[in-house]
Amino acid sequence: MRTYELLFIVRPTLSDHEVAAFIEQVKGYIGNIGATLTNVQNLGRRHLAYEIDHVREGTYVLMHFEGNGVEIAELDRRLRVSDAVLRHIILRIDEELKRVERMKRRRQRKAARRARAAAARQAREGAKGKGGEEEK
Amino acid sequence: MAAAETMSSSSSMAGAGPPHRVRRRRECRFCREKVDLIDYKDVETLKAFIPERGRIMPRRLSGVCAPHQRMLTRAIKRARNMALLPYVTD
Repeated sequence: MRTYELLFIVRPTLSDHEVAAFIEQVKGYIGNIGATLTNVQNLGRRHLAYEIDHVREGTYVLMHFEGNGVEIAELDRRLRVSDAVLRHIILRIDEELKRVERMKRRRQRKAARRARAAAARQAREGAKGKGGEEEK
Repeated sequence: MAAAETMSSSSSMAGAGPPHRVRRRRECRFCREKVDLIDYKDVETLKAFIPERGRIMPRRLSGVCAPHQRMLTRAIKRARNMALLPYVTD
């Protein structure tokens, strides 16, 4: 199973209602290619860094979905021909996420090892320290 | 802020090495913060590496390590494509 991230910009001429309807439509596309949607987020309207098609703002929508990778090209094509979409990007992110997970685990292991080493050192010094304390 | 650090570290080793050579920060800021992923949607982070001209800041200026610089350039380019960051500004 592969995880994908899709971000697209909807034309600002669409009303909130129309944007919602369009999001439903895209959800349909994702369902059609046999992928499962895991997250939909309307990031809201924001200014574009530059003009696209003579407009300076757009509504950003973020989606995550899982699929086996077939017909991603079809989804891409549909978004490209859609008049409502100014820009879109589809990224496969499962390997990135795996890498992040791996790094996190590695750090945890390292921290645990360090903690164990510190505890052992303290125990050693504690045993030695008893004699020292009496001297004091 | 980094300059103050640099000053104190170079003054502590006064006499060692040429005086004009300022000691560089040794760790990349992404390594220090243990960043595993630089997200193209995180515009605020990316902006720090885009001077007014709009070009990507080179490693020799930012001190970012090679793996993180690769992640960073990719993120900036994706962000530009999605109109989150400008390609050029003048």
